[in-house]
Amino acid sequence: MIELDEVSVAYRVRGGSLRALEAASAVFPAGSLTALIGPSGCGKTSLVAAMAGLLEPESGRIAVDGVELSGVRPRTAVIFQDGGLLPWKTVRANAELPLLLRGLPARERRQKVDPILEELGLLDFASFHPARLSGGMRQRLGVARALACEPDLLLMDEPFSSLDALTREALQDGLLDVRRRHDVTMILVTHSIEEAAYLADRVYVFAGKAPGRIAGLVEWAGPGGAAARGPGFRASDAYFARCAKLRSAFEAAVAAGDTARDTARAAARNAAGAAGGGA
Amino acid sequence: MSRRRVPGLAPAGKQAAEGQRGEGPGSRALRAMAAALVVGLLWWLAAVLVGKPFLPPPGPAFLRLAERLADGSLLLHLGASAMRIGVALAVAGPLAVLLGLAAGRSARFDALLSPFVYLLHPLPKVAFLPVIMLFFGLGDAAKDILIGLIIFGQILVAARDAARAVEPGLVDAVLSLGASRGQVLRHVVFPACLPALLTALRVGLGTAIAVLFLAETFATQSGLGWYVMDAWARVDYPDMYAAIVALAFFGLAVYALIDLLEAWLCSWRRRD
Repeated sequence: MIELDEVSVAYRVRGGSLRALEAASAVFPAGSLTALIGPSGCGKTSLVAAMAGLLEPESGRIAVDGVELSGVRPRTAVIFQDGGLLPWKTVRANAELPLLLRGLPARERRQKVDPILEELGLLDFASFHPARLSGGMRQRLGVARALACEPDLLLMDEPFSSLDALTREALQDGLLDVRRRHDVTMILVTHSIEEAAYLADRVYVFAGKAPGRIAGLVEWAGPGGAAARGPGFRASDAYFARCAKLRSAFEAAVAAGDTARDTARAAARNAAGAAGGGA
Repeated sequence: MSRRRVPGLAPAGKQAAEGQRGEGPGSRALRAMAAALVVGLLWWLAAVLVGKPFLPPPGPAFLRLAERLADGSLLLHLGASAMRIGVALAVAGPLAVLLGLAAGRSARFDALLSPFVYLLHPLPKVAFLPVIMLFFGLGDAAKDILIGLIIFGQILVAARDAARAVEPGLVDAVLSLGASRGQVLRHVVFPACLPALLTALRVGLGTAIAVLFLAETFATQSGLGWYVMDAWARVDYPDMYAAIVALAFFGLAVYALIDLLEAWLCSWRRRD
């Protein structure tokens, strides 16, 4: 289980700091697949970097299984939008990288990684370099490398957003397969309502921009549990109901964000006017 | 196979990659030989047109080259020149790579190093030849140091700029796998910079060979540079041209070696 308690993330920029995320509190139950959805600039990616241990929060705390996060955690794996693959390493060497970094000998690395490559249909391409793979295969390799970490927490930052529609759907189903076979808590950043509705058990909706914040949590009741989902689910009423629910939550969050911004601007204008009047 | 209808629109890099796919190193060697043939032909034509002893046709020059190679005398000088470049590269190369990569990855170290680089790098190192000789004597050390300085600056700047340009996403991805700083350097930064380093090596060694010639005209009796000047003084023009040809082949061999190194180390860049 992952808990976020009032987590704020800020970047150092020229002449100050830019807050990307403001006081985000959330809970991710063990074994769940939670989507983080929101417009670009709302701090989703920053939050993933913080949960991965790459970025230290400005304030607040992140706890994994009750232990406060203090850096990169061996059993947290991250899948990046572009795969984050090393172009100079072969498919197999990329997948083995986490084990190599941990100092495992070559034989053991291979023993652990080859079944994973097999599972993801990449074993025949083990000696290829990433440049020769299709976009879908590259993302599958990203998944393979993540699984090589034997993760209990898998963070995904828009992993399928650069793929064409059919490849994306195939990989989404592939992810559900992975989820059935491995006991992993998954957190998926996406800007696609459909993807969140199809893959996730629960969705945190983000709003605002620099800083963004968590505007609400959408959970579904009824059919469509992880086991029931499959290609047929995309055409089901339950799926459409999810999309509709998520869309209205998303739109409400954006509208609320706009109102908040307008209010803040009006307040700033009034304050400036009052100051001007005083002088 | 379909051909592009509009040639020249593909980016140069892609065309190069296609060239590598279609033709192996063998055909590149063939083209180099064809180029050598053209140069030889022009040389012969010029020699016939000029008709002076200081421009003999290629025939006598190559004949002399073969003789001097056979009796080993030219090999000795070739060896002396190669040794100077080799020593300079072996000392300056790794040091420049190390400092350059460190500067590219650490803003603090860069702030320390860069002012010196900007101040010293644009200076023509050849101008320091007298100074270096005064400090380090007339022997090989001075020549090694001069050539080393040239290679060092070239590689240092290339390494720093390449290390700076490493995609941050790749570094993050490998850090997220629990890599240490050293592991990031080894698995991400160094391989990412390798193509730029080899290009710098190519440029640096080209300049180094040119400067070597100059350095070898002072205070030595070995090396191809000395050999050319000596033949000139002896008014033995075929001998002079033989050494010039040897110098050309030496440069070619160095470039071919770097090409082979690149094909071996950067095979991931080929798309075939």
